[in-house]
Amino acid sequence: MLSEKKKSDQRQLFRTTRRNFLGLGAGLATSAGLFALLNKRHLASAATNKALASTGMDGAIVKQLEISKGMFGTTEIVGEIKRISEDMHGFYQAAQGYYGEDAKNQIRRFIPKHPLGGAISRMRTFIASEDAVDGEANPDKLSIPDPERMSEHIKKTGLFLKADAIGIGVLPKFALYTHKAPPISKVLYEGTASLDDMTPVVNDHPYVIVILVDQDLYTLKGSTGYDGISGSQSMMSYLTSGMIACCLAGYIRNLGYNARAHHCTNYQLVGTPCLISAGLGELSRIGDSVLHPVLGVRHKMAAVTTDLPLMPDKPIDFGLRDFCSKCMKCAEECPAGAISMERDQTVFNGYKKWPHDIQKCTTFRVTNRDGSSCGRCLKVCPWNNKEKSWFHDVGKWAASKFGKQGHLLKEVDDMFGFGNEAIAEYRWWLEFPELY
Amino acid sequence: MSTIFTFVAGVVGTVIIIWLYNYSQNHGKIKWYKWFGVITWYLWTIYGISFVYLNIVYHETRAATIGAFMFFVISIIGAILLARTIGILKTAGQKSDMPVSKEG
Repeated sequence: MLSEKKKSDQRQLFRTTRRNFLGLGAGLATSAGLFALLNKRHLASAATNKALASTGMDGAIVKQLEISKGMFGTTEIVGEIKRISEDMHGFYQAAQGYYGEDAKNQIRRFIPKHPLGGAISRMRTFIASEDAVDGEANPDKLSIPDPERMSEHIKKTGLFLKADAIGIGVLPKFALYTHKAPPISKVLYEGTASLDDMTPVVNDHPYVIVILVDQDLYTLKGSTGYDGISGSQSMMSYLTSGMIACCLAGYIRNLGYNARAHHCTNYQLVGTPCLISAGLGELSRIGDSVLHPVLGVRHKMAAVTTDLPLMPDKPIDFGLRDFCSKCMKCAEECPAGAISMERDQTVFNGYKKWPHDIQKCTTFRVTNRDGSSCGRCLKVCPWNNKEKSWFHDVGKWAASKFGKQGHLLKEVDDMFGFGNEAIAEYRWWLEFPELY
Repeated sequence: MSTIFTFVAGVVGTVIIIWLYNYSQNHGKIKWYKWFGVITWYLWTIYGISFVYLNIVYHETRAATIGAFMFFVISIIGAILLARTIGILKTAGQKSDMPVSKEG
């Protein structure tokens, strides 16, 4: 029981005049109104981003860059970038035995050894044929809007087809292979083609539409990065992005313009420069992977090259070069030791990048006995393993603004355990260690 | 859930402001920097609760534990310091301005 005096004191404490109460109410209502207005503007801006650039940037400060001499996005060009042949690719090298007998033998089963990975991977072969990726354009061109509106429409079409991000770039000619290998599935699994059947690449399309599909955040959070699901994550994103690219290319051909899809079982090009050109990210420390401000490197890409009149996007800069030069979490965590700990980039084929040991990376992935393939770098990269929340937005803002302090931000990331734990609640898949 | 949380946070914030405003009417004006301290403490606490809640929801156990420790320890220390600075909580030997129940 409270005394009467105390009750009286408490009543006094909460008592206010009508004028003060109304004043406070008006102040709060004005503040709420201003907040709602600002938030609405923010939401409107995000909606435009979704239509134009496919996604908001979740906290990162993203600048669009003009094309300048010596720079390709934030990648320094220091000489001629020579086109390469597709069989220089790590998996083709392993298949030819350049990475040792174990890698040569294991490459045929490193994905199919997990039942789910095998099932998804097999489906990719159905979109590998030339009929699936290319064809004759409709001889009667249909009426289409101006390039700006058409670009917006193509992006919305990609999102409708379930792309997670989509951009349009000028096709960098150095992205095209000199020679194209037969589909790796036919070389490895079906045995119906060999690497003697290389064909020269001829492609004069001016634009490239790039499609990204997420490898699934929560699966990644449940995984160690190199257990049974890793290969399936890759294959799922490859298959889905490939399907989207084939549909989109077919749609453009039906409109009366030439278009060819490029996906993991039938490429004519290297994805990395196309992603940069389409404003979908910056070159990261992780091999030749392009890091997207929202998806990180937790994606797989497919592309459509076309002569459809479009308005291309510009390369972007969100401070990743500074951040990757200091963070190095992927390099510390890489089980193969394939990612460089060098702070500075070095020159490779006419451009600057962090060195990456493709042999170690490929060999570990194909011979991994703890699971199928590997994506440990995706798992631990601070840009990859975050759901949307205010504190991760703050983190991304800080990473893009103060990239030179990347080592401190990495320490904070480690302190909270982000990306380092395999969260049991998200482990939905079955493991078959006896098959690995 | 976040809508309910935001609503509750707004109600609690309003109650704190009204309560402190009336307290200042009865016990002397609260200086601007003390108001600033109260608002900072309130935001720190609210954001701390939000941080811990979201990390629990997303099963980030380590982040939730460290976040709880970091936010709430500072919040409790801040609350005590603020209460003493404003005069709600008196040091030993000083008589508190708060009414005390004799039965309690």
